[in-house]
Amino acid sequence: MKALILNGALKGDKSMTTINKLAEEILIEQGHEVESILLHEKEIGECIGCFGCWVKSPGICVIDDYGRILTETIINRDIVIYLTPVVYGGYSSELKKALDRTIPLLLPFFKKINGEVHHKERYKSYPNVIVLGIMSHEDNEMEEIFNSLIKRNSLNWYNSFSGGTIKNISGKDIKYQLKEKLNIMEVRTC
Amino acid sequence: MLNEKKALLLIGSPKLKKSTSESLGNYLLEGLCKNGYRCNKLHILSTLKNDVKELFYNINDTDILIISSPLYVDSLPSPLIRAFELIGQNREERENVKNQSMISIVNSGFPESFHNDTALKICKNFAHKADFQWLGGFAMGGGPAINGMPIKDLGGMTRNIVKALDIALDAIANNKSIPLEATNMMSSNLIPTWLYTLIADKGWKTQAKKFNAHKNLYAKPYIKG
Repeated sequence: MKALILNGALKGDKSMTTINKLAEEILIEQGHEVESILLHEKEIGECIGCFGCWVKSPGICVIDDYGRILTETIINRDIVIYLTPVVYGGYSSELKKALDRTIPLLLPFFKKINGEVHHKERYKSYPNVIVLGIMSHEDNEMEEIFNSLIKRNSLNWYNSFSGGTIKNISGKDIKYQLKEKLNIMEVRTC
Repeated sequence: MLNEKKALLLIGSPKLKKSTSESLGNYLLEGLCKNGYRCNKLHILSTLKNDVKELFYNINDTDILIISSPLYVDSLPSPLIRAFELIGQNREERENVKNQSMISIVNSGFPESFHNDTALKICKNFAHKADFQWLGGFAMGGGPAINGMPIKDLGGMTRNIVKALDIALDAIANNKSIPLEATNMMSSNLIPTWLYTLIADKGWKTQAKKFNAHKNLYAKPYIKG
């Protein structure tokens, strides 16, 4: 399967490079073809909330930059890994900037799923997403928010999101934690 | 005046026109101005691009910080998250500490307000970590119904929003948490869900027609094979 790692490290955060490499190794061991994108190195403008991707050029963002290429790459992958530091319980600004630009993958129209209103899907299927939130210290509140964000994303994106937080703390084996999170996906996609 | 209190509205919407976030925030800011506060307003995207020092100065100088933002993909828009990252770092390094409070309003295009809950939790977490007293957060659904119009001009549809924000103004003046009564009023549906989705779905088609894109709304430009 084709896997894509979206590395949402902030500029100057070297700790994420090692974690990105470990995640790549684990995915390759599982037999996946892996590509990593360090998002802060790419030219991605912020979504300006114009909804041009829904009403002007349906399915394509009006901003012609790497955000368009990224959106096309995401929808054509089997597995997408969101790698991010946990920022106040959410994703980093670098990862979020990229994800805000992916709304052309949905339709503007609404439908009800289990009593909740969501946007309809534009495509037949969406990649499986595994979210890896890196935390440099224990923080139950941030962890709880992060897990609820993963759940909300999953409901809105017609795919099964999994993952959670990874503790980058001395005494905690990062590779073991990564394997644990990435194995959840392996079982699910078999 | 030495004891004059200051209020800062930080608009999290990257939109420059027709921003519901700005309409909601303006109502509070105008109310605070009438109550004697010295008021200031910053748009997040232009502030980040032009002058981050101005952002830090205003954030560290205010007594009440109002953050009004749309919901983007279950969370806050990326420029606001970037601002949180920068402000958090700045406040770790600063020397002077004064008592400051913060409230947030998050609105979304979904008819139900609960979609905003995670984004509000992120705001609350930021407030705690950046040393702001959290006075509370408002979640509002059906944001496009306001479409950047002044809240007080919209009549009956926004009566609960006006009531909720008036209660918030009292709470801010007394540095107290926003009562549950007010957050519940803000969270109530503007119009029934079925009617909202009907109007919204029709609205997308009407907008697409202006760009001659109405026959292509379901396009799948990135499909392979």
